[in-house]
Amino acid sequence: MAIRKSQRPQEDISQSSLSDIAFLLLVFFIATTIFPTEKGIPLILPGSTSVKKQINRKNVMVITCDQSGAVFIDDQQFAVPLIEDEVRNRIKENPNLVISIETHPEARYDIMVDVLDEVKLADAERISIKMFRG
Amino acid sequence: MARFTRTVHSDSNIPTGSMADIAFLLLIFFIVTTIFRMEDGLNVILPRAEAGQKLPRQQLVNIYIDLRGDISIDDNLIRMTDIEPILVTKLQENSSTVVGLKFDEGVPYKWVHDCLDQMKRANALNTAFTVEPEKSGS
Repeated sequence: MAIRKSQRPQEDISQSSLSDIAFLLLVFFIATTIFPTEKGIPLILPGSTSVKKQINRKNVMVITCDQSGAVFIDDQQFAVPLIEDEVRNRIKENPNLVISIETHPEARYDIMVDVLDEVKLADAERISIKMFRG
Repeated sequence: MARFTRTVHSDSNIPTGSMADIAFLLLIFFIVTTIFRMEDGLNVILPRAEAGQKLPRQQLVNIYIDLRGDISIDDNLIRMTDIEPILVTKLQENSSTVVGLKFDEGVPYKWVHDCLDQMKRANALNTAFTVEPEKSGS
C-alpha cells in the first residue's frame, strides 16, 4: 500500500511588502527628526591681552539703560524700537562710530538684550558693553 | 539559407529580496548612532530678540543663570568664581568653544557683568547671548 504524502498547504507570509514597511519607517524617522537649533546674538569680548585703545569721544555713541528700564542715547530718552534707526543714521554720518551700551547694575537683563538687538539690527559692528557706574 | 536566430534577452532583474534587509540595516544604524544630548539646565525665560543667529551646537557651552541667582554649567550648580576654571578646561579641550549665555530675562545686569568678567579672565571671548527668536516685524 502506497503511503500518500500529506499535502500541506503553503504557509508563507508574504514578504514582498516588508521592504516597503521598512522604508516607510525610515522615511518617517528621517522626516520627523528635527535637530533643535539655538539662536543667539554673537559678541566677541575684549580679552585681557587686547590693546586698550583710546577712542575719540566724537566716535562714541553712548546708550545708557537705567534700572527702571528707560534708555538714553547721549542723555536723551529714547523708546527702544526707535534705537535702530537712530544708530543707523549715526553710523551713516560716522562709519567709525563705536556704540557703547552702558547698563545700570540693577537693570533687568532683557533691557540690555533689547538694546543690543536693536544695535545689531542696525548692522553696527563696533559694539562695547559695560556696566554703568554713575 | 540564413536562419534568423532569436536573440535571447538575459533576465536583467535586480534582486529585490534583500532590500528589506538593507532598509532595516539603515534604520537600525540610525537608531543606534543617534545620541540625544540632554541638558536640563535651569528654568530660565530667555529674552526675545530679532537679531538672533544660529549657534553651532557642537562647540556650545551653556551658562545658565536663573532669577534666584543659581548658576549652572553642564547641569552642575556652581558659584560665580568657578566659571573661570571650568571655562579654562573647556577651552583646552576645544579652542573654538562658544559660550552660550542663557540668562533669565529678569536677572540684574550686575550678574551678567560678573559672568562676562569671569569669561574674559578665562579668555573665553567667543560668546553669544542666547535668545528666544522673535519674528521680525512683529
